[in-house]
Amino acid sequence: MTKRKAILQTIIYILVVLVVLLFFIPIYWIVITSFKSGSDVFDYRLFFKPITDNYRNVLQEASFQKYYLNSLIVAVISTLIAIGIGFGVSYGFSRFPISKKETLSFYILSMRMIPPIVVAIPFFLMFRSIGLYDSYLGLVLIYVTFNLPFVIWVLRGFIDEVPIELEEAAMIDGCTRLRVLRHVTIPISFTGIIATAVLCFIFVWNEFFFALILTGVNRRTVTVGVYNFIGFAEISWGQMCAASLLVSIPIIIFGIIVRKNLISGLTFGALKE
Amino acid sequence: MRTRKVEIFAFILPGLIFLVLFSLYPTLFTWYTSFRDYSVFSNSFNGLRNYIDLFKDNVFYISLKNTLFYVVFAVSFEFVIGMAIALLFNQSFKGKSIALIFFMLPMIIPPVVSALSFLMMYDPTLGLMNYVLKTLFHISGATWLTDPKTAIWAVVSIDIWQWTPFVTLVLLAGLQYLPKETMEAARIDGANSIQIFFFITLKLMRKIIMIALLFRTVEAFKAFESIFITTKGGPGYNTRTLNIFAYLKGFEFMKFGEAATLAIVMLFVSSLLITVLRKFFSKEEIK
Repeated sequence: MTKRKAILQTIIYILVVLVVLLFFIPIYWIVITSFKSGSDVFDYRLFFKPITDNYRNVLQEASFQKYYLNSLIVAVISTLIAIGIGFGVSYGFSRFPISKKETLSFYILSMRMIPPIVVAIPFFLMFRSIGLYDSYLGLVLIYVTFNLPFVIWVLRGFIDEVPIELEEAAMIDGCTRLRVLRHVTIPISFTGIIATAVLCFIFVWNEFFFALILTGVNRRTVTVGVYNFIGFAEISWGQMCAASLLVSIPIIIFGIIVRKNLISGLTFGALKE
Repeated sequence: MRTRKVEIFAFILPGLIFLVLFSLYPTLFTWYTSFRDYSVFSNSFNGLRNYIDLFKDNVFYISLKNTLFYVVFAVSFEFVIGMAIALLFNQSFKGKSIALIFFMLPMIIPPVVSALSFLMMYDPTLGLMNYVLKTLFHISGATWLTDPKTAIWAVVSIDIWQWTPFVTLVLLAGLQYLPKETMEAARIDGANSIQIFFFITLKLMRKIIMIALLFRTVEAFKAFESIFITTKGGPGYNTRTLNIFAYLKGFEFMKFGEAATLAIVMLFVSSLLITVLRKFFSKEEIK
């Protein structure tokens, strides 16, 4: 019996390693290519002299620095605004009697699920005529819109978990609604709020379609910047991979931090782990 | 708790106003634009002309067929592979959380990066794919992304790589909530693992499976990076999906009216899918 168990364990391990390797190959490939010189990129010998030139070149490039900063600014600001506005709606839906609440709430969610091209056309036309094309404000507006339905749904789940009795008790003691929020609701649901904010940041940082359409050279975000590496006549694979990795690293770290909330986030709270 | 109307409005109104202004209004604007001859040089009402032209356009049906192909094959492969891996990860073994972290990376990293890494691996002369085929199996490879026979599979494979982890993690969450007693009882009654899987596991997980499939369908329908970065819809029309077609109409050829018409058709399809999804989306029952 124990022998059978040991064999079974070994088979499980072999399969797990195979699966993980298979899914890791493309990322591994980016990592090693980013350390190769131009002539080594498609040389498949296992050992090569790793160089850091690609990173140095990418990091020294002014446009890359600018795009990276753009992404950071837009992601942080739009996340803060989306959380701020979204919290109000989530709290309202969670605590107040509102007629047709569930219908309204699903309608809000569907705004996030429709194809982005539906809103991209008017945004493009309007932004060009009112001067928001290629601006921080334009990008922030579109990303707040994009994230708001998500924030409303996911935060509501966290606020629902705060016992309403605690809020009532504080109110009986004479607290105003805002004081209750500050001292009871927000502290208790704080980890949930942070997780939601991190997910928002990831979504904005990874977004490509709107950034491609609505920005030019000034406010281009870094995902579009990385894509531009293949725009030139000859692709510098090494630099492209170094840039790809530099763009991915903050997201991988954030992703690992919120991995427990990732699935409930990506399904808008339909599933809770 | 006593609540005043003013208080309710103060909480929810800012968010609702924002969504009406920046989501509902643009959608209506697109609908309005879809009835106009709107391009760089013109902007006038032309009734149903765009719709009639679209439904007469052969490329529309090719794009529709490609979209269907992409969605059906991406989602079914993601489901089958995702389920197999979920069953594997449902076993207990040491180091599971580390394995899961590596496994979920494809769905965390920016989709642009995924597409670029596949662009590199599918490179016909220098890419990893052809190198492996040649050295291990002595098969001369293909020009994956530019050959009409392989291009659509090449872009579908990116979707599968990127989103199988999502399906796995959703199904894994479902597997963990299955009642152990039912499984035990079936085993005592003489059912083998395969019977248990097909007659009990799949049945009990029906709802969670539908959620995973519908979410993936809604998302795959609007796939962009995996195609735009690798083939831009080519070669010819071989990987042109509705979304890519709409993008090209609107932002390469600047035919905003026609693009809006296609966008409205997509909105219609998407809304049907979302309505189906809603049926499976009651928050309480899944836990």
